[in-house]
Amino acid sequence: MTEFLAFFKTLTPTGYLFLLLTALTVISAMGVVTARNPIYSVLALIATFFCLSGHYILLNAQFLAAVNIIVYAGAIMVLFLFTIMFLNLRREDEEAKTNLTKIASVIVGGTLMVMLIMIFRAKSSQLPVGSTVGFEPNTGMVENLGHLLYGSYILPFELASVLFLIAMVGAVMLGKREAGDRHF
Amino acid sequence: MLTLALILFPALTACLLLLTNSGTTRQLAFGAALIETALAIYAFSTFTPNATSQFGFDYPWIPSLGIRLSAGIDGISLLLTLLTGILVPLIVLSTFNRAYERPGTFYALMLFMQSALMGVFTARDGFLFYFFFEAALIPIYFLAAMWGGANRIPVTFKFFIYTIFGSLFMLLALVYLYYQTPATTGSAHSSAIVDFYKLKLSASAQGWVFWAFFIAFAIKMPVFPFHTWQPDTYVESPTPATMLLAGIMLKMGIYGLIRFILPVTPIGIETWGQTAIILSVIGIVYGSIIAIRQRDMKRLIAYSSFSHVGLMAAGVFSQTETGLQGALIQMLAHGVNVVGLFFVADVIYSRTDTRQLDQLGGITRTTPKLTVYFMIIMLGSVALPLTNGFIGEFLLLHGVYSYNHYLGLAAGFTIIFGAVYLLRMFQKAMFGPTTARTESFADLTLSESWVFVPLVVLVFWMGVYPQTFMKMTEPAVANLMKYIGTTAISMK
Amino acid sequence: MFPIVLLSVFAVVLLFLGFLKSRSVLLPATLLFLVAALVANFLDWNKTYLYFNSMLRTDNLSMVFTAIVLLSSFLVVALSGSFEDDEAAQPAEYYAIILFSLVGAIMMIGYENLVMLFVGVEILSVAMYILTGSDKRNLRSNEAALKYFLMGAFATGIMLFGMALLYGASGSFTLAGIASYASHAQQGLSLIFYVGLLMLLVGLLFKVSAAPFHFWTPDVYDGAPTIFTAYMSTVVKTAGFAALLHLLAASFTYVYSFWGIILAVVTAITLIAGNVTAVYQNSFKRMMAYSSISHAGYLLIGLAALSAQSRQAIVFYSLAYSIATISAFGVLMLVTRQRGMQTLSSNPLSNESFDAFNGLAKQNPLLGLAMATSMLSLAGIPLTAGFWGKFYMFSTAVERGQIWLLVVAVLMSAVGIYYYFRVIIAMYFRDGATEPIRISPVFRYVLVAAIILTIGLGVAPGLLQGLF
Repeated sequence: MTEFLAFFKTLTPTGYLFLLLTALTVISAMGVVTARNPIYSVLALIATFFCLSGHYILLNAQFLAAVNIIVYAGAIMVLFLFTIMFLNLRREDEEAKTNLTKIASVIVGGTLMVMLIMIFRAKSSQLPVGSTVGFEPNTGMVENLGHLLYGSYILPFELASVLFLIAMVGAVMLGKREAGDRHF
Repeated sequence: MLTLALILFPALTACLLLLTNSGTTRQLAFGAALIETALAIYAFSTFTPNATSQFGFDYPWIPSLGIRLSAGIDGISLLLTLLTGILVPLIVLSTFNRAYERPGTFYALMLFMQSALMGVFTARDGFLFYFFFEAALIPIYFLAAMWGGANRIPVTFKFFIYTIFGSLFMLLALVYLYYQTPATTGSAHSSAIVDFYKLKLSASAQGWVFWAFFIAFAIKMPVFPFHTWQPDTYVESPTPATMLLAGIMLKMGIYGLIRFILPVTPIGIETWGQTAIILSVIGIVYGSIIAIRQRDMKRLIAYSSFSHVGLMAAGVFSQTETGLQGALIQMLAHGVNVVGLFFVADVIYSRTDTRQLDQLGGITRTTPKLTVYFMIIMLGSVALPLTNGFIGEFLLLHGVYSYNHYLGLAAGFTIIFGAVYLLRMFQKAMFGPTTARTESFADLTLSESWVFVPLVVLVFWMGVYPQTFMKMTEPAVANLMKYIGTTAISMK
Repeated sequence: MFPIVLLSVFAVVLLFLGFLKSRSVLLPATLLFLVAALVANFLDWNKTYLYFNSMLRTDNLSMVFTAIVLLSSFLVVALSGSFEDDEAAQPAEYYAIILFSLVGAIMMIGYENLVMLFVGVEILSVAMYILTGSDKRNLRSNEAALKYFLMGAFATGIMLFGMALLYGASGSFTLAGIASYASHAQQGLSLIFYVGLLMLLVGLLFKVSAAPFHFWTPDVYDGAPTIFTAYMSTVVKTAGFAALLHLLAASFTYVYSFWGIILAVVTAITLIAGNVTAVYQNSFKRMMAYSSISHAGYLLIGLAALSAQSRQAIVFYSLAYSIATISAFGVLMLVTRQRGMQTLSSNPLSNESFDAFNGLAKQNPLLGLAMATSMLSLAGIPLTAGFWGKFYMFSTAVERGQIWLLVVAVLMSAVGIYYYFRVIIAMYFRDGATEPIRISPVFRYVLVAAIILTIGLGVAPGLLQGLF
């Protein structure tokens, strides 16, 4: 306990901010999952995104923070809200889960947990070594990011366009009106 | 190269037969099988009786792993290739009075089977052996399951699963042995069977390799308690398939014992051989007793075959020269006899539509030929002196007796019981009053007679002058005994 | 590299070809594109290149894997002729998505950088989500797509987290960088390195449907249109295993003691879960889904052992498995369609059951033979390619001395024979009212080619040896 307090005393203001943001992120992320009303879920998700953007700023990545807010917290969440309002999902018609699904999810989650615990127990003597040597504080700036994306990461960056093409083609294909289909 | 011809010729003709589907298919199949017989007899007559492998071939198969397509005939293989060569045309001939649906496929499968059997008996590479060992299973499975009796599907499926299950363990053992072999030129290991002989495995490794092989071969033969697939499969299969199964295929198991277990795991046998012998002897007695109670001819012969095979296995596990020699001779003799007996059952069934002994009787009145042939073959199975069964069983019993007197004594029951159930079958079927079904029993047709004639000739030949066959195997057996001796001693 | 460029361009071209009135041009065009990509793939033969700052690597191994993936998709596409008759189908989009997804598969095969792996996995996965749901009017298809999407997205998240942790530990996204960090295993590695590796493994194991991350597989394979099930169960699996193999062999050999045992346990669970559950299925398609899980298990044997033999073993096994699976699904499609027309029942479940195959071989010897060959190959019976696949896999495990794993594998192979032979029994030994099924020439060629390849590789497995 005293160690923990001592650890607290060594923290800089940035450290406190990090802890605060992290706690907020986790709490609001839990809110997304646990909220019964989808509207609350979405609101919690927006909060999560804001917290994440805060992390980006702490890492000196202002561009990412801005993009994250504009794209996710802004555009995508608005879309979500619209969809939810259209679908009118107020009622709680939660689908009852069968026992099989429950067992399955317990097995999957449990396996992962056991594995993680195994590692932590086996390797707990070796704590992660945080090193700031060689860290380039300006990496997250838009200029450096651009250099990286169009420099060494040009191939995956370009190939990501294939991913978007697939998504677009798929969306059009699945959403296309069919003969005999009735839309409102 | 002769070996290559022996293996490939039936497979190639089978491919051609697949394309035909007319009435002449069986003549073509018979012709092909006769050519194969000629090849086998040629190999037999030009074989030099020493311990080397002859007429062989050797090509790379998977070069990076050192696995080779290599086969050849030595004294142990020789008798079995001869047996396969002689029996298959007789089995084909035995079908001449029957019309099977889709004859092209039927005869092609039989010839494929022959190919695989030849491969098993001549392979000199562990994996090639396994390859053929499994490949033999597919045609016989389809033969039995497509043309078999009413209950064929579950019965043959059981047979298939059983045997495949066993051979998977053999595969494990083979892969394990392979990784124990030292490096050869060009690859890290070698899968030649001779290289397996040279291995010096630890006692525990030998123990489990022994069991892995034993399960595979014991299921194939079958040895008690792995025999439960056998009687049903023999009964439900069409008779040609039963003849292939009992006449040739079960010899794969005994051949495997001789080829692998004896030389590769001498310590394994020292530890577990007694268990194996006891199981075999239990099989002998158990099979005989059940055979006595049978009413169905085919089932009776199936149990008698089970009992005889137990004796052969016991002879092999006795690790004596006489026991081995006896097993080799008896494999040939048993093949001849059991095919003859099953054919008799088939002839009777084709005329009376029954195999139940209590519905038969009095057949001798109209059938002098059948009676004589039946009797000779039956006496051969009973192991009467001057017939082929005698010499083999004598040597086998001698071998088992010298291993352990009590077991020898118990195994000796096979002769007494054999006489009981075979004579009973003969008497019930052939003598006594005629029944409604046997009243107008016609004697053998020409083609049927010609199945029996070679069998009967072999019965007498092997009984009167077994030296023809013994002298071929003696050097190989002596060589094998040397292996057993040296590995066992060097381990101590 | 060449196939990636070509396939991306071809896929866009295909989308434009979709504007044409005639649908019949699409299939030949797609096949032509795939052949072109296959040829281009081999341009770099016997050379090793690293493209774009070591993002992508081409060497003989990656080219062989790419060739397997392209060959599988060629066979699948060739079997897709029925789109022409189906009004609701949108073949141009389907083919374009398939070609695009191959880009992802090839990235998974040749990546040198975890970012490439991630983008590749995403491309392939997103394409699969869409194809799974492409049968819009079918409720099962919708459900499968949604399920696959949700679970797949979750798995991708875990994988991405793992990559981030690996980066945090080693300071590098490249395989070489991670390997050089891992080479200090003696001095002790950061904890998050192990956690990251584990999460990355979990994500990839999910994609290849290894137990206990396999629960999505049966529903998705069952619900997706059969032609895409065939694609999914071959291409995705091959690419996934190529990715795992490359990842473990290139970066993590130093920490084998850590993941070797984990993978061995996962292998055993996968084998047992896949084989045992497959026995209880009444639908052929669902049985094939479980069988694909069990084959993931056999492929994992080679990974868990990671010996000198492993590359060869995995290449051979995935080829044998892909060919057999595609031809089995091809026959299933024909049979289902025939039954659908005969009984006029809209219940597709009964058309996909084992009983649908009753007596098939009597009237349709070719279909019977094709199906029997693939079942024998999947069961690992000699004379077929599947046998040598299993043989190689078992050898790797023996080389590592994992005898207990082998015993499990052998027992499960025996179980496998049981359910594969149910089909053979139904086709050859049972009676069913079947009329001859009309087989289009392309279909016939594909089935014959599959038979020849399976038996050819079964008799002469050395043929593939010269390739790498």
